[in-house]
Amino acid sequence: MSKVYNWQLGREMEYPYDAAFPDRQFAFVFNLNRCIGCQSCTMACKSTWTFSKGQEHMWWNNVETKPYGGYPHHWDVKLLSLLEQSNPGGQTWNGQPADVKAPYGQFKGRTVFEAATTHISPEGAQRALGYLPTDEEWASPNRFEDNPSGSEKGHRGQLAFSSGANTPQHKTWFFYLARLCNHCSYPACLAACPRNAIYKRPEDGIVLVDQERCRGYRKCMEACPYKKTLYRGTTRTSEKCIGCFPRVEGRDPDGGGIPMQTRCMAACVGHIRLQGLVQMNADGSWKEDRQHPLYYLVHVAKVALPLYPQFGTEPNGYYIPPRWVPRPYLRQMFGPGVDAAVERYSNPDRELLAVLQLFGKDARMCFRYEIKEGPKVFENSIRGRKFELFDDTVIGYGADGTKIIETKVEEPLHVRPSQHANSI
Amino acid sequence: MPKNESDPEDPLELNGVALLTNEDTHGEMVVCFTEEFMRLGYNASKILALFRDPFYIGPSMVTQEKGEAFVHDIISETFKAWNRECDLTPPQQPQAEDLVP
Ligand code: SF4
Ligand code: SF4
Ligand code: SF4
Repeated sequence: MSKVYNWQLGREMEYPYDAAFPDRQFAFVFNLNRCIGCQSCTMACKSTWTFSKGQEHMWWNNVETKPYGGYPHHWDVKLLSLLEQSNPGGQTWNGQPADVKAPYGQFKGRTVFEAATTHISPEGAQRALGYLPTDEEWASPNRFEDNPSGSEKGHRGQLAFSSGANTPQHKTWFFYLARLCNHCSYPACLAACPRNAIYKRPEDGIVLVDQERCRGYRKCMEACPYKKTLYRGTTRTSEKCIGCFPRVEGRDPDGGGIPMQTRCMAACVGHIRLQGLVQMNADGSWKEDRQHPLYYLVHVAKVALPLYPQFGTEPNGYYIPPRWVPRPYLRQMFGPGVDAAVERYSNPDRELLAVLQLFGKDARMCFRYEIKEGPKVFENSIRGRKFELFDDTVIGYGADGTKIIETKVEEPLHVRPSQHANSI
Repeated sequence: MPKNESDPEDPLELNGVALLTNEDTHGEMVVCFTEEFMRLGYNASKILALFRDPFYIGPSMVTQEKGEAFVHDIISETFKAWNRECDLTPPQQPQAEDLVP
């Protein structure tokens, strides 16, 4: 085991390999306040990468209704309870949020790597505490989803799908959690592979399974706490999200040679997703890049938080937590930064309102933004706080400095006339 | 084939789900959805339509649980706080056929 620094935990931790970081890291921010659970992202990935024989059960991108659903079933509940069993009552945080090296304070509990040192599974010692989901757990990815059973147009009150199931609705809060591989800085899948078939690319940090080396032992599947590697029976190898690497490299003809956001990001109709490449320091923390939208959201505004940071893999997917969800649940899922993040998102300042406009505006990746100040539209008090709205203009630039986005905070809405609803 | 009996061996069978909390967050849900859609450019009546539509389970659940007047009031207050014109007329009693169970 090596000692590596995990900035999300604010401390060093044990990891089977020495730390090595890419020049730029694949990262994304999802605004969960906006996800409508439409699964367009899921289908965009499926129709691009996993439509072949043996991949039927694979959803590299999935969206689950929390706290009910999970793909595979109960993945997070199981992981949390394994960690709790290994360290009863000790999975806690303390310390004060500090700088970019410990923005959420310090995690006092055990990561999946640390817990594995004292946990021997039926098959022997593990490199990361985990479990292998059963085939049943991978099946029916939308079990426990919310279940609309509406009426056909013009027939209010009648169930449209009379032959379909009319299952019970959830009666309390829920939200949609969109997920894909986090292209972690300390991937558990990579740590666990006995064949060294998994590697992290030095140019963009995308984590890939070398299909030539993989022998399908499924150690990655057992170790990944997010359960984002999947087994393919037809090739007897494991597969996972490839981060749409041809697009990230700028090889998709649509991008005109500059890096594009992945298929699942670009297809998001809810405009909840913003993906990019962030610069890294030699110690794995993010290099200050004040005008990069992801740097701003994660390290300046601190509205976007890692998913289950306590697992210890340093995931590179960040989430703006849904503000109506009870805080204890959110703190467990996104760590101690939740209260400040919800507070800031619910009372957005001038810069945050402008940066949020960059989501979903262009399929090319944004590397830098600029704000041109506009007039004050009004001043008011919202929930007892002073609130000012400025109609600023936000401009986003691609990898080569091309202007890819220019929009305003008070963005005009154009409604396509009904006779042209489907024309482009 | 449709069936009425529960089969515990069926992987597609729904299981009981323990609720972690019954905290009432309906009000905050309405504020959040209203602000998000308002910032996307929807007017108040379009937003209210979402809360009436059974295909939008989250919003329509609030309407079913709390009644339309509750939703209507929060939408109006939110538009007022954001200094936007609210095109809603005073709340009406929901029609039974508007609320599909
Ligand atoms: S999310 Fe899982 S599969 Fe993806 S890099 Fe992290 S550990 Fe590996
Ligand atoms: S990044 Fe690409 S490969 Fe990965 S889940 Fe999204 S669409 Fe699929
Ligand atoms: S496409 Fe966007 S809004 Fe739709 S489910 Fe996926 S993340 Fe959510």
